[in-house]
Amino acid sequence: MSHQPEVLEMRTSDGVLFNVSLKLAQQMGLTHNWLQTEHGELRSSDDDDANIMPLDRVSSEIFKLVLSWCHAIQGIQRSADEKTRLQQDRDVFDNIIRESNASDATIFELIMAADYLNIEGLLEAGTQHVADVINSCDSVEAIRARFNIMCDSEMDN
Amino acid sequence: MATCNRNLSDSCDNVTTTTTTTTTTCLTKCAPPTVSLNVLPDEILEFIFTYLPPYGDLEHCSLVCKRWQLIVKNLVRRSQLNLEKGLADFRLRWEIYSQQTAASLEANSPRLSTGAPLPIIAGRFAHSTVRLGNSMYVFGGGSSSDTTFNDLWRFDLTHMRWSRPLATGTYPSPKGSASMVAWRDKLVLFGGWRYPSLHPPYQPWCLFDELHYYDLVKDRWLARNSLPCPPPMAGHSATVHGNCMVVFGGYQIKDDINVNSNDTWVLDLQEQRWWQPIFVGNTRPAPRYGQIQVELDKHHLLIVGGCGGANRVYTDAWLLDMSRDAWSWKQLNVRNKHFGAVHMWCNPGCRVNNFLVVVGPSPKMPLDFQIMKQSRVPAVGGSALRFGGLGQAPAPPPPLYQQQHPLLRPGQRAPLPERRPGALLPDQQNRGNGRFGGAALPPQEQYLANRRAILDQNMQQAQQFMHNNNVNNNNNNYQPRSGRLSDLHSPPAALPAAAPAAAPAAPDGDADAAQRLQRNLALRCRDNEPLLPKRFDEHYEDPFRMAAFNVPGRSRSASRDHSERIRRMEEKMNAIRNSRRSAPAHVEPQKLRAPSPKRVRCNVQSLFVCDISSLLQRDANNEPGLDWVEYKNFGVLSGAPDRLILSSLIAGNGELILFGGVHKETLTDITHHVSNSIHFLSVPRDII
Repeated sequence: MSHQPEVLEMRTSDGVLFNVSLKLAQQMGLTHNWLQTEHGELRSSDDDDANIMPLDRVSSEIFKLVLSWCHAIQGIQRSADEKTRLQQDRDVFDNIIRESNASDATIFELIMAADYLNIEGLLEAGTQHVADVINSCDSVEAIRARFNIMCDSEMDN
Repeated sequence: MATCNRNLSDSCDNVTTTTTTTTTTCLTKCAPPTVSLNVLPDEILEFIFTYLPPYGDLEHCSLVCKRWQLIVKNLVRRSQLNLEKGLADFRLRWEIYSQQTAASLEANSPRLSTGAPLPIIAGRFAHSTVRLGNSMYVFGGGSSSDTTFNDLWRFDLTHMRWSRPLATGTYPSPKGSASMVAWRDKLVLFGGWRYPSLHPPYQPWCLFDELHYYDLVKDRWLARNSLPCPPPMAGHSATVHGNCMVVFGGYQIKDDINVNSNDTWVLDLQEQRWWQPIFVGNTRPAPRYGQIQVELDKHHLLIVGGCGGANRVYTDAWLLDMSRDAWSWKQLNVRNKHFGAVHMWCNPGCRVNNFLVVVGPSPKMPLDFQIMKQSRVPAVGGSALRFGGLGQAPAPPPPLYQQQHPLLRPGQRAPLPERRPGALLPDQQNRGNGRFGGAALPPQEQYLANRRAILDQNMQQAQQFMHNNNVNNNNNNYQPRSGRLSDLHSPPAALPAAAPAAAPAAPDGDADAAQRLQRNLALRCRDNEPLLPKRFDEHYEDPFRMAAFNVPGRSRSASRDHSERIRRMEEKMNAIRNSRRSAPAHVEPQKLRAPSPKRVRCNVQSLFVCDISSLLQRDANNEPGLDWVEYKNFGVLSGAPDRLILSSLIAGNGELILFGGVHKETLTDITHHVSNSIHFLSVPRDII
């Protein structure tokens, strides 16, 4: 059967199973690969394990945030203009960050998850967010302080 | 729990926690963050850095820690490579920074707003620009109201803000087309012209030989004058080599005569002393002004283009070898000239590593028609048209036009020097003969397809162009063809056969659209009057006028000739329009836009790129020369700025910055539309 199911099952690194609608999952580049390779040889539903997409590098909390971002993005009208689209991505991202009171760690993990799952919009939104924070730091010291980076030498040049 | 995917680099410590610290992501917070940004892998960090403006902020990042320094270095190198690749492939895009964007940026960024509006520079052209550090400095220039500026502005590239340093010291006089270079932490300004002051009236133009240093640290202007000193000049070009500034060319006053020069003067920047080098060899570039001069290395510089007066626009290139005591000029072979920029004397150029980039009029259309409006036709005499000649297309790309000439020349009367008053005419036709002598159909079709497919916003211009071609051919007593587009798709040999007698046919009883068209054609025709040499000379020798800076055309002498020619043109128009009845549908005359009073986006700048790597590498295999890179889409990139002349182009970090300039369209009006917006030419962002 090469018929694609409505709901895709995904398991995160900590073993939590998520049922994700196909439409939502299509936002992730990783699912395209998955659907292409694995679905070709889909056995008929007995072997459950084979149909579950493993997400070994994403934890369940992060994945929840990712899903909420994808869901929100699906809900809004996507404009044709690139710039406003980026802005929309960013706005959704900002909302999620704010609502979940996300820490730096979460944001970084979100970015990495977006990279792993190959979700372009989320990756751009996240990195742009961090870039803006860097931008707002006026000096080198401020950057170090903000992001907790150790200065490892006397930077002469 | 989550296992973070991180690159452990040696020197930075990464702390990941199973934290639930409620650190928010705003700048001010109470609890210190416990997670370092360094958990992110290199590529993502680099991607983040690409969002930062590549100036001050990136420098800060490079100082944060060793890992970041490496990443930033990588990023800088890669963005430079990308820019060069983008130049070679014409895969760049323009972004604009104008008053509106400044205002919106102001509104969006909370930390900058102080309530007071930021100062913004007034529009100007023929100003001098230089980049030093993370700022672009702009001095002087002509304004939109016949005055010249002498103010110095600084554009902070990091924060994208204009500011005006409070300068003390002896201010230079208002001037435009001066040369300004940066040396150490000083700016060196020399020469220039200025508009004559209006009271008392009829004053001559002023050329300057003032030399000023601007000390950036102290914000002071210092005037230096020493003898011997070069004569007052403007439109010269200067570059810095080591501790010397080499000045070449320009429009000078020598012994009370205004003349173009090809002299070289050298200023020892340290001792502030001028001297003239000794030359070996007889060849020198022809006297010129407005050329583009770029520094190749400490002992070599390159001169490209320039204007030697009326009808003499140069596209040649010369290399000055300063390595020995006696300097020498060497003319360089310029290859692929048909892809080259044409008017390199009023259009800026700058060097980006192995490339020389010139921004200029788009080669696909004859800009002079579209620009000159019918209302000012009588004033379109020599000078305005000469200026109007700026907008000429370097003709070879339009194979349509070129196609016709070689085929008809044998049998017909020699075409009059048609609408292009510039010096390119013999060149063009030679080129046309050479290239399109025989079957050039595929390029034509491809050309047409390209244009139509890509330039949808300029579709009307394309049609006008084809239309104007007809007009041109009319100018040259060309026999009307059987149809315009049919020519594109039919073998060229059919053309002579299809040429009926050029008798002015009776005007067909046409619809209003056709009448309007005819009138438009006639009006436009007036603008492409063949310019006879003597009219040029009349203007050129006027001691109060400099060819390039001639703003309003004050000649009225040719209006009588004009009306005569207009009548002849109209007759030919009718003939052509008759024959064009059989043209394919998509070239319907009705579609042509009547010249509306507002021409919004009719002319855009396009990019010309020249490969100068063979000069830099000095290997014996190829003879060093310039290769113009073949452009795609005629060099028109998305977001291109409007057609402006006398703007300035400098190289930023991974991008090019174009500023200012005057809109040629309204040049024969008293008030010109000068621009004060900045255009950045950069590579579109890619996802890693």
